[in-house]
Amino acid sequence: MRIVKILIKKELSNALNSWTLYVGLMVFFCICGFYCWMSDAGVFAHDLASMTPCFNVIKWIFIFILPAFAMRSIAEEKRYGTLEFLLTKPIRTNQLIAGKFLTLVAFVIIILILTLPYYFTMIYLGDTDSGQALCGYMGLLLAGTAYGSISLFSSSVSRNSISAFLLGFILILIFQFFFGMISEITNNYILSEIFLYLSIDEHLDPLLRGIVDSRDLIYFLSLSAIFLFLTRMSIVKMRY
Amino acid sequence: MDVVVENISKTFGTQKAVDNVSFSVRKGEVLGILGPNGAGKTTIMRIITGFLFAGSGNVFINDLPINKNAYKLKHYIGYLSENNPLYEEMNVIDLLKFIANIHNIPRYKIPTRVLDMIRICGLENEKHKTIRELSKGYKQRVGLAQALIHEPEIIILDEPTTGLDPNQIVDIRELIKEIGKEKTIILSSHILAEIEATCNRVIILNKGKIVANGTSSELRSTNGMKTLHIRLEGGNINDMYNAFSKIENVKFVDILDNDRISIQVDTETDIEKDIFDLCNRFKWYIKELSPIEKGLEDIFRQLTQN
Repeated sequence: MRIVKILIKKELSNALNSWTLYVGLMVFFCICGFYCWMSDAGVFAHDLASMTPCFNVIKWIFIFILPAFAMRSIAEEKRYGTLEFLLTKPIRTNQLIAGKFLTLVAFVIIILILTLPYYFTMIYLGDTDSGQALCGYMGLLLAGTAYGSISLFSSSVSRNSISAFLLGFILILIFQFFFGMISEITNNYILSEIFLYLSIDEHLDPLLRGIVDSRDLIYFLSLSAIFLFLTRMSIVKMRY
Repeated sequence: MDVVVENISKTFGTQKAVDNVSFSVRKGEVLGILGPNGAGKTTIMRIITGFLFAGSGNVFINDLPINKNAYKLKHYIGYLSENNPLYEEMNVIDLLKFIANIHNIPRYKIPTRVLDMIRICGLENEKHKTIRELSKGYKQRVGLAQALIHEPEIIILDEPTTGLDPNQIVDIRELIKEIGKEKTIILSSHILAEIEATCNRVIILNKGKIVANGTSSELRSTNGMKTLHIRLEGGNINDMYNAFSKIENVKFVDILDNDRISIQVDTETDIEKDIFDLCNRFKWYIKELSPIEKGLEDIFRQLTQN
């Protein structure tokens, strides 16, 4: 855990020293704030003090922002040779991946914490369902970790950050959008159920609405675990 | 700590980068690895550091196989890789602290070790700069500093003097020699003079195979032939050429000047007596008889040219 902590500290400090993070966060809050408070789908348009509009927009922004944040993490290390630099030090592949992954999780947590003022404003404005809000945050955290692991895998199989971003974005879109779509258009019941189960939306929507089901939690955790395992495979394969 | 490389092979796609290579390096020894581009030097170093896995064979460090004890053994290894990859956005002190932390150097010792390495590697004026701002030579020094910060028992340096100016090269060579008295050092270089100046033993690689292994003087002598330059007086150079050509053990004769010839004989042969007898017979006076030592460069070229 000591090594993982050192790696997280290094990754976070590098990220916080880079202006791109702040630009990304600014864009995030502009979109989130506009959608939440000023758009037709926002709080005032429906006259309802609910975090749902906010959660819905965060969910979509995560699809862009997490591959963007993760795209450099392994692809650039490979490109500039710093992966060799790290892996010739007493660092295990698992520790390296854990360091990178937990940095992404920390990033997701930071974003979610920064949206807490929205929640407190909602409480001030009306009768907000706090249970639902808590579930929503949990859902977004789980979805964020799953997106993060997918993005990390994309970064590990790509040679540069642009291709890492595109691959991560496409893979997340497939899980977020296309599996659900295929499930709707297919006539085969079993296939439809399989694709429906694979769809992130199918598991995230209940959480955003305040319904906690262990199957959804297992889905997100296993999705993250599978992509972290694939990331490990990709790094180990490179060393063979 | 001793490093034993046992029959390692490594293939990338269809290309065999390392082919059944074995050697060992003992504590207090500086081993130089020479070879043309693509000979497998870097691959061997990467396998010893545990970054790459060997296709077959293994590396033993103090009798422990690297493939099963990589995490433990990496604590004893300091590695400067060929391209010297560093985190460009970090400053020198932060980078060295980061590496010191990874090597689990006690927290209270880290500032001293970092400052020691900055002093030893001559980075005093650059310590607050980010790596991106440094010249290639200073980056190389940072690379060396990070490789040495945890006082490793085994130091592996892939082209350590690349990008350094002549003064820096001399400094680094002295540093390697000094450290090499107590540690195990493996270094590769294209600069043959550097290998001769710093290494106790040399390995020459070609196409992934070891083609020579020994001290510089051993390599010169095992080359098989020795060359003698002879200056004579009192005769015609063509007669001399013909006479020397007829000596049984002389493999090659060449006219260098109108009174000087060069002959090549087997290293084992005692040719001097035959030369004296010949000169005595023809009443030639020997003005010069000098053995010509082959440089490492000649041997390298001879062994690695296809």
